[in-house]
Amino acid sequence: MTHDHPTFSARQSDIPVNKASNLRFIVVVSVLLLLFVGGWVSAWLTHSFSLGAFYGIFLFLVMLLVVFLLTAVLYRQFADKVAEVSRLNSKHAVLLKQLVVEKDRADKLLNVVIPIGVALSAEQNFDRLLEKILLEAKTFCHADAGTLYLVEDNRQLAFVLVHNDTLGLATGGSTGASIDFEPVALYDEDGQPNHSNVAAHVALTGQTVNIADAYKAEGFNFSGTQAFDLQTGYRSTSFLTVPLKNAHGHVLGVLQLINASGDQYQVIAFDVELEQLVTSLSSLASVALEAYIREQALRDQIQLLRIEVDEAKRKQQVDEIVETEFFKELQAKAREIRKRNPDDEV
Amino acid sequence: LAIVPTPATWFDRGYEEAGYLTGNGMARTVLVHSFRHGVGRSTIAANIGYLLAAAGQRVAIIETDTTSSAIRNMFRLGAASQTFYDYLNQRCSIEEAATTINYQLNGELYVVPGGDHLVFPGVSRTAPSYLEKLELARRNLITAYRLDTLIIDTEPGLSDEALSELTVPDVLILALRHDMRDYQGTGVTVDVVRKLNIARCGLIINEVPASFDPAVVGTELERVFQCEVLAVLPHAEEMMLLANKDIFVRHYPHHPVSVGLTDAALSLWNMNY
Repeated sequence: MTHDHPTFSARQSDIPVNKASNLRFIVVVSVLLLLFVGGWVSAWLTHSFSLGAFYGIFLFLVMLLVVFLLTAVLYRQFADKVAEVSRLNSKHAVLLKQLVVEKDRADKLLNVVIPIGVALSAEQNFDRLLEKILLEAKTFCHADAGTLYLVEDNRQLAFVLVHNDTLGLATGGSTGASIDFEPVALYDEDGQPNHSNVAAHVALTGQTVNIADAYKAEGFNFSGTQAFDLQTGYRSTSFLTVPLKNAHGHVLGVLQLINASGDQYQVIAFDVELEQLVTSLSSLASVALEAYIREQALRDQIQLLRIEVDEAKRKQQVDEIVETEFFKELQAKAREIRKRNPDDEV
Repeated sequence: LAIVPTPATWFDRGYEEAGYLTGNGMARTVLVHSFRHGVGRSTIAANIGYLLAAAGQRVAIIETDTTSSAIRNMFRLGAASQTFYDYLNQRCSIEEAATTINYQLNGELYVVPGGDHLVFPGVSRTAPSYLEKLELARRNLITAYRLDTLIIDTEPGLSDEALSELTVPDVLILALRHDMRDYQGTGVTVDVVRKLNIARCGLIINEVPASFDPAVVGTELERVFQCEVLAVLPHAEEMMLLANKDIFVRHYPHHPVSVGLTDAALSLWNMNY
């Protein structure tokens, strides 16, 4: 943060230097002033109102004028300095506030997001892993509903999990309830990318989309959501749609959180800072997901591990050895040795 | 393999059961063999010997490959110690060739290194006299040191020399790696060994790729060879790092390879005859 304002500390240290030079000036002027006042007072006390005394009074008045002018100039300079200092202070306050926000974000990242990521990598059951990803993100953002899509054959987004707390809906995964939504196509019949559906758009671009109100949003077609709302009486409003990207930027799936709830349980838009944290969470989730998929692929492959032995060749080689005179002698010898020492017979 | 004992639990067990096997006069000869060179035969022999001795048995290891210095290196024996080569050439008795290993062991460990001669010794190993000599060495060592287990680290393959040695043991351990040549050769060895009346034959597969599920490898080996699997040892970077300068289980007591070797040693220990 301080890197943004490299001149900040340098300007702050300028102020006392200016102040000191001003003070020196005031001291010099004050000494001169005392000398002249002293001269005039002494002349008056000795009743010697001579030309010298008038000259003294004249000089005193001139000096008075000079001091007034200097005071005005100094006052102006001080006022400028004070204004600058307060301006810097307010800038400082903004920076401090930013610092607090960043600290809060770092704390959340460290204490919430990373432990979730660790828990995700430890999950051995695929359905439970997916559910954990969705539920953790949903809880984290105070979202009322959430949907998890997985990319199928690089062609479409399949609904894997649909959860909605208000409607008491939990389908897919370990719940056993099947989902009857049609998959979202990533490309239309002409092979053109489908950017009208927000989930498809996110899967195609790999970028998070935060929408405050689906019914007022421009550029996306929420007809599917609106049909769902009509059917259920639900009102889908705020949407946070996050890609599940692996380290190479390849999108494995899409996480969609719906209707963030505020302090009074009213529906609000998803916080921009939360958006960044959910993006971090989703990258951890993707790592767990990918590790699982890779491990599964490897396990499938190992399930196929078959040790092949050429049986015909084996039999031929065994016969070659067993049928020699040498081997028969060995067998006899071995029997003899064992017979000689019945203690060792096993 | 339901309970996988770590070497630590193994040592606990050893204390309890040491009295059961030691001194009951039933010495067992274990032969470690492989079809090919370099599958970790000597490493397995040395580590299992060490584990059994650490747990309280009286153990000796004979390395019959006179061109190998594996045992000498692993137990850090001096160059002056006498070898199996010297015994074969009648320069010393087998008891003299056995060096005591002074590690902190509950039992006793004696090793007879093979002797790192680059050429084959003058003694013909195919002659019946070799088998007699080996048998004599086995008996003398067992009696002289009141052994519980004698481990013989043989030479690989199914040459006449190796076949002679295969008639000796009560228990045969076949070491192999995840390699088609090993699978084929082990298949032949298993069949040949069945005609020699060896009481027990077990497989130890070494350097299994880490991505393989050990249980799957074990079941597959059992299915193919109709033979007991004593251990599935994963490939270990540490094993390469150690470069056979020490006993692996001594250096890395909690490593999965050590756990696997302990399984094998435990199953030898628990043989109930």
